[in-house]
Amino acid sequence: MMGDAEELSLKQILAEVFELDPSTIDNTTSIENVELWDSLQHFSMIVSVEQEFGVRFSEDEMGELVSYERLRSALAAKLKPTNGSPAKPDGQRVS
Amino acid sequence: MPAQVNVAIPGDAESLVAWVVDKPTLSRYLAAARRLRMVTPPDWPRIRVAVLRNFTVEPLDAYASVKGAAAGFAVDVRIGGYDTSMRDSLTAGSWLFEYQPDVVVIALSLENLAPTLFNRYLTLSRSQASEAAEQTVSSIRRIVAAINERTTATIAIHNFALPRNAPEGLAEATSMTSLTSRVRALNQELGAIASGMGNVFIVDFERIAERSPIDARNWLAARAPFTPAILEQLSDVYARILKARAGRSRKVLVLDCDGTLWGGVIGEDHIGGIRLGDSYPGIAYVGLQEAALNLSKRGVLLALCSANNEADVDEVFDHHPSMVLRKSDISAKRVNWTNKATNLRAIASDLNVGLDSLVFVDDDPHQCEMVRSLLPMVLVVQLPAELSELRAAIESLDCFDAVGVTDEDRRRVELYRNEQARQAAQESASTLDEYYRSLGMTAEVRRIDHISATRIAQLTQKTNQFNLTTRRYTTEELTQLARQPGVEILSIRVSDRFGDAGLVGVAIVVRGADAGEAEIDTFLLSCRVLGRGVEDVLLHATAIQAEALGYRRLHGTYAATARNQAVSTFYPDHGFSRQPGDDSGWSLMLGDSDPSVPAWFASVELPTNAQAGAAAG
Repeated sequence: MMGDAEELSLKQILAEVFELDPSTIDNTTSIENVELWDSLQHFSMIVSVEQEFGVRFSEDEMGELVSYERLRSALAAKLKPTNGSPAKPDGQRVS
Repeated sequence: MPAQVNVAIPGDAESLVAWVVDKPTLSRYLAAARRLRMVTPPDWPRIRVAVLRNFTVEPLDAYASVKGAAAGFAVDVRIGGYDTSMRDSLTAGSWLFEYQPDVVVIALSLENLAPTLFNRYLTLSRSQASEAAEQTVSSIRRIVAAINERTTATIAIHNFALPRNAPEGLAEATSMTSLTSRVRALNQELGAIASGMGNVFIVDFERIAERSPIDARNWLAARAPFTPAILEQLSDVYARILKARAGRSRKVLVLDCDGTLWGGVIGEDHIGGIRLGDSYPGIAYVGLQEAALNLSKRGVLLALCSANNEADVDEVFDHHPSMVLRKSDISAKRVNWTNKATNLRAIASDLNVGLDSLVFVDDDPHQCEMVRSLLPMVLVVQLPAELSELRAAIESLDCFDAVGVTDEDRRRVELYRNEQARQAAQESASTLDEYYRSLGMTAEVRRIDHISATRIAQLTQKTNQFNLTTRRYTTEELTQLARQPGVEILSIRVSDRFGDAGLVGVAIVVRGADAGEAEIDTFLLSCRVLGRGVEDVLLHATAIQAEALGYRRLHGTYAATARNQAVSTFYPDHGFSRQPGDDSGWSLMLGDSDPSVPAWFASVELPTNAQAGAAAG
């Protein structure tokens, strides 16, 4: 589950990694239309999201999460349905 | 978590650093590093860092830029191609040399450098494995030699991570020929490459990777092993190297007594009641003292700053059986009821260092806060409440790194002790002249050689007060400079009946703007010999030596800094005069009115080819 706070944090991370205005990020934002979103920055983005939310994406997920929409739903599935406090690491090693 | 408004990225360098320190995430490092490129103040020293690598080190560049900015450096990082380290360093016109790096980082993964050795170790015979290992070291040795040939850069070599698992199972740790043993041996050889030269450091990636394992998923998928935890530690090491090569290390550890050197309050608990001994909790304080003693052997001066009756503290130093530190380890002390900010100023002045050379250690948060607010240039270390962390609080201080430890460093504590004996003698001599004569001072001026070069470079890096131009040089830069025609690099050693002060002054003469004019590029003196006429001897030698080189005039300038006000009139005070049309400095015609040597020197030795001139002068 994603609350408003989580969604804002996620947008903020993308904004910082890809040099975007967070208010312009929506479900259409993807590797297709973001200039700085290359394979190198993709890894930085994934690691940043993992660092912020204490989650870990699988090898398969890594390659799939190339749009805000996919990233958002993959993250939502990992976050525990709580009252909006940040999720604990879901049992996996967090770097 | 409250729904927070999107955080705006700050617009100036200092706020950017604070923004990252506040929340040190990878995304903030990336955003801050990008913005720093646009907003770093133009007067920050620019440091070009080149990275030779064979794997994905990014986003190490962002971390290095931000950590560099935190130390006041404008760090520009350029990263080489994946498999071009050898070619880049062995080719004269490669990007590496075009870039003119100040620092070259060599970050090579053993797994990529010698894949068979690392991944199929047990398929190799012993001699094949030895050969592969030797090749690895020799390529790094060649890269280092090639960089040293063409640049004066500082070189930082990452050593290798140990294998993540044990190919030989239980025998891995037993066998002297296991992969783990081999990688350890390789790392020792890398250390041997570095330790022979003043400008090469080892970045202990072996230790970092032990503490914070690499990201196996990202290594496999993108050859990108660094986690945020690793990036933090690596960039910390780089920042330490930048500070050390800029001579920005601190010199004095000032220790509180009650609650710091021992547990309890000596004035109340008395010598039998304080906690200091060989079991818990007293052993924690023994550990802190041992860490301080080790630092003093690295050349860090120790001082005491304590609110106590001096006799009580003396009693502990003289009579407590578990005291590690002795009075002779302490170079300055203020044990009294004056406030600690005033006492720290006095300690700095006793030791002839600036407040920015001091590290102040205290367990009392109020004292720490007072010093922080009154003397922001003093680094304040507030001791942790957990006794198990006391020793580490001292041992983890990263502000005492020096570029190459010299004999003078090791003897500094002794040198300062001599200085104290000298000051005592000064109080008993009736006139200053008489006092100087009683010292039996001798001075010896010599040309630079490979033994003195490191110490000379260090003096240019560290000397702030008696330094006319404050030009910083590395050993390599000095060696190159000394080869230029018309250049003379002189250093002076002095000793007296209290001891040998070592190499304490430097003068560098280069060709001036006009024919026949020698420019004094550098003229500096260590603050521990100020006020004894040593500068007069050095200036005398400089003039004599310039004459011997065929110059007819000496020209000197003063470049003001925050610290060297005391020497602003050095040249006019020594017979130099302003010439029409020259606002930048002062000149002295050589031959007729050369600066003379003070009469109280028992002996003065000059470089050999200047002896004739010396006799005439």
